[in-house]
Amino acid sequence: MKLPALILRPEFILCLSKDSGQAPGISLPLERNHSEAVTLFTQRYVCVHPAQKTPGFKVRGFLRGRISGFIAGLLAALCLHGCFYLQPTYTKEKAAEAVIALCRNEYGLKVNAWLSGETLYVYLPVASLTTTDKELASAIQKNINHLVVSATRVCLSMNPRMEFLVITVTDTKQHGIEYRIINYVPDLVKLQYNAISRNNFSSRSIISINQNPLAVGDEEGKYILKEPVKKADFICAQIAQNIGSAAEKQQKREEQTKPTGMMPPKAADVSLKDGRLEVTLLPLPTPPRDAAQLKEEALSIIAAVIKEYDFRDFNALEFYGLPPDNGKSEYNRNALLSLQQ
Amino acid sequence: MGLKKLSVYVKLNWVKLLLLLIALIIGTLTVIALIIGMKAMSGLESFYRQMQLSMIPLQIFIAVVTAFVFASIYTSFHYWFFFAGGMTKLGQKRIKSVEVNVKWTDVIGMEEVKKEAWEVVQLLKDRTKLQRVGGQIVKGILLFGPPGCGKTYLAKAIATEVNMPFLSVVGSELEGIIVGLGAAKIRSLFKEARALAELHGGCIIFMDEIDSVARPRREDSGFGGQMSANAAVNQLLTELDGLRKKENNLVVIGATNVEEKDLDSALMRAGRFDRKIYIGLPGLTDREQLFGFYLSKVRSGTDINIGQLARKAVYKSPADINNIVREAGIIAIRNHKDSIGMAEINEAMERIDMGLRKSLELSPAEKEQVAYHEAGHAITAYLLHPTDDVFKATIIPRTIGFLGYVYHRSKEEMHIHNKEYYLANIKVALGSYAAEMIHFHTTTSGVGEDMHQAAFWAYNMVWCWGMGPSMMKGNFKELSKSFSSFSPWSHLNFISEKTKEKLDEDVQNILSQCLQEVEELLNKESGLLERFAKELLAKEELDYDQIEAIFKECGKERVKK
Repeated sequence: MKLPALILRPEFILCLSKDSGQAPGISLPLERNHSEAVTLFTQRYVCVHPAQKTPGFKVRGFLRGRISGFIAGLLAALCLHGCFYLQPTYTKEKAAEAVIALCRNEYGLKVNAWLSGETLYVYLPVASLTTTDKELASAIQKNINHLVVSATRVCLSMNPRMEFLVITVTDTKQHGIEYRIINYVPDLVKLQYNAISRNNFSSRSIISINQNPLAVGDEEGKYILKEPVKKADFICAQIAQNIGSAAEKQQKREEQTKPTGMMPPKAADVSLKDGRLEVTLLPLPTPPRDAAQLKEEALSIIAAVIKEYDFRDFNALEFYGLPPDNGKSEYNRNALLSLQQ
Repeated sequence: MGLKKLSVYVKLNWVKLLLLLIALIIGTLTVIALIIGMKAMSGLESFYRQMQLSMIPLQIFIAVVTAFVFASIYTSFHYWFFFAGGMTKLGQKRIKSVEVNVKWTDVIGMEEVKKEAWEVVQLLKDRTKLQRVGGQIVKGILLFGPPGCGKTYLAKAIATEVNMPFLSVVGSELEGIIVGLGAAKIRSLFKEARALAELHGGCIIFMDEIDSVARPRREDSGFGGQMSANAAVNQLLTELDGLRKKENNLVVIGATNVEEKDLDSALMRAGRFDRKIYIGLPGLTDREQLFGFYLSKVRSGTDINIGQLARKAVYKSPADINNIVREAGIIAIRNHKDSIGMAEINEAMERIDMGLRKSLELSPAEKEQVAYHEAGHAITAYLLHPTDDVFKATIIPRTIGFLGYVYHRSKEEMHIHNKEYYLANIKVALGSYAAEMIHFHTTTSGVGEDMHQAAFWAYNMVWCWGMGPSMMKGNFKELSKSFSSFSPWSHLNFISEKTKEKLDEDVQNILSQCLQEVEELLNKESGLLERFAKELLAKEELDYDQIEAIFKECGKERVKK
């Protein structure tokens, strides 16, 4: 209540009530000191304006005290809503069905999906995978994208999430050529949050093309080994793939040539044996001019991958380089991590 | 509520109802949009929904920051526009007194004015003395007079002398395209001046061309322009008014070329522009000082006769004299001379007055005709004119349109002339006609302008000034002016035809009498006429001294001027 303003106005002075009882006619000389008058009034009288008695005033007074609280509550709810638990759209048990339904309903694709441990397999049989130029047909590329989007949606809106997503597209009519993508689901989440770039994500996806005669005529994907993907295997495959890409890039720089084929050459064997990570650089069809540089790049790649996934299931790295420096090198984890540029 | 009542209610409250309807539509659309948005949100998969929700605090934060930034910009602009002067600040010149730096001693050629202004300077400097005796300081000084006479210069000198902040604005800058902007600019100017006065103990506002904001107030024609001008005058009046006595160390100096009567009478009353100083054209001594001052700033030759220059530069303002010296400097450079000589200054004056020389090839016969024509003028002026000196005679064509001319002028400004002066003017004008008649027994169209001049003076002598031979009294020229057809005087004819005839007769009598006298003179001085014309033909241009020499050679002296 703004008493100083009220005191200046005669109508308030006439309506002063003492202890809620009427005491009309009480007034103070207006020229008296403000603060003195305010103190006196607040000590002895309750100041009531005639308009305060009307219902409209009461409603306004009631709302005035609550609107700000309501707005503050609304803002707080909006701000904190994202922190609350939301019921996941998909469950782990029905994840495979969800992917099949999404692909069928939204893209008209007839796929098969199944769950194996923490790995969700999605299988799409196609009549022909590649064109005559030995490249992926555009329709197949489009379908692969649809598959990835559908499976990603299911994997993301699930709690707890899967660990791996394996998408396989197989030519079941002619040669049994299969195109496989293995994604680590936390990488998918990071991509959605823009925590990693699309290029970085591409380097984390394991893409392989193989031929399997057993696949011919297999519309269900029964030939596929239905074992969950192990993280160690995934990391080894990623290291091998990235070393291959590095070798290809180096060759491209040296030869000024375009890469041949869809996939980078196999440039390294990576395996985990008895707590030892073994990396062997393989001889390439066109040997690199600077083997030492390739070795450095390979070590850097290994260190980056190990660090990114916080991979601790090994004690030492055994590295076998290329001629002329093809000797064996050994690194412990710390030494390896220090190599990362 | 009946239909009629409803109709009346709608008529009275249609704006309110319209706003209510718009608010209702916006509210409904907002609710619909919210429902659709919430439905879409709930249809999202959990991951994407959570992502959207988690973005809300960031979006609110960005919205708040954006709102804060825009509110700051808007508030600053609003404050600047409405409270801190806004556009009124644009174009205003703020000058510190140290930057003005025009010393009192630099102000020359206006001694009388300086004396008057010095009093003001003293009052401003010794304000406490004035307050001690209960006096009030001069609040406004109006400097008026023809252009180029040093009004601005004097104002700057006052500012330097009193060592106060000097705010200079041009009247036209105080006008605005928006009605009321002019008044706002004046308000802002005085606000700043008051602040400076508080800081520095005083402030001078110099409003050049004050007539832009001080024209008499009058009714607006309906377009709002006059309303704005009136508002500016009113604001100026308020600021100058006695209501602001406590800020009495604020002095407004206004400068204008227009006459006092053309300014708003309320501004001219005591208490506003208390001191009015007329800064006119410089006198002979002032002109000498001015020539001396400006020539001291350049390298000038020893042949310069400042007295002669000052006599020749009658009706020239200080700015004109400055321009003459500057022009002379350019001519000296062109002539490959190290210093400015008399010839350069003479050429500069001619160039300014008469224009550039015209490359017009006259035939020998034409040249001779022009030479005798000008010799007639020169001899008549030299021997008959009571006030004028002959400074120059030339037969070099000028771009202004003359094939030749004789430059004769009084040594000093004259503000009133007698009958003899006008008769002499007529005789000088007719001198060309007489000379041509005497030598060639015929005349040319070259006398057209001279005849016009002679007739003009004769006409005014008779019709306006009662100087005709019949001594008819009255300003018949004013009486013969036709009145507007709406005027009650329109049907009246004040001058009879007989009077008009008599007046015309007087005009012709004057002209005939003057011509006769001139012919007699030139016949008598035919040797001088021949000599002068021949000399002019030979040299094409004769200066003061050369003219003097010719007359002396023929044993003639000027009439006592």
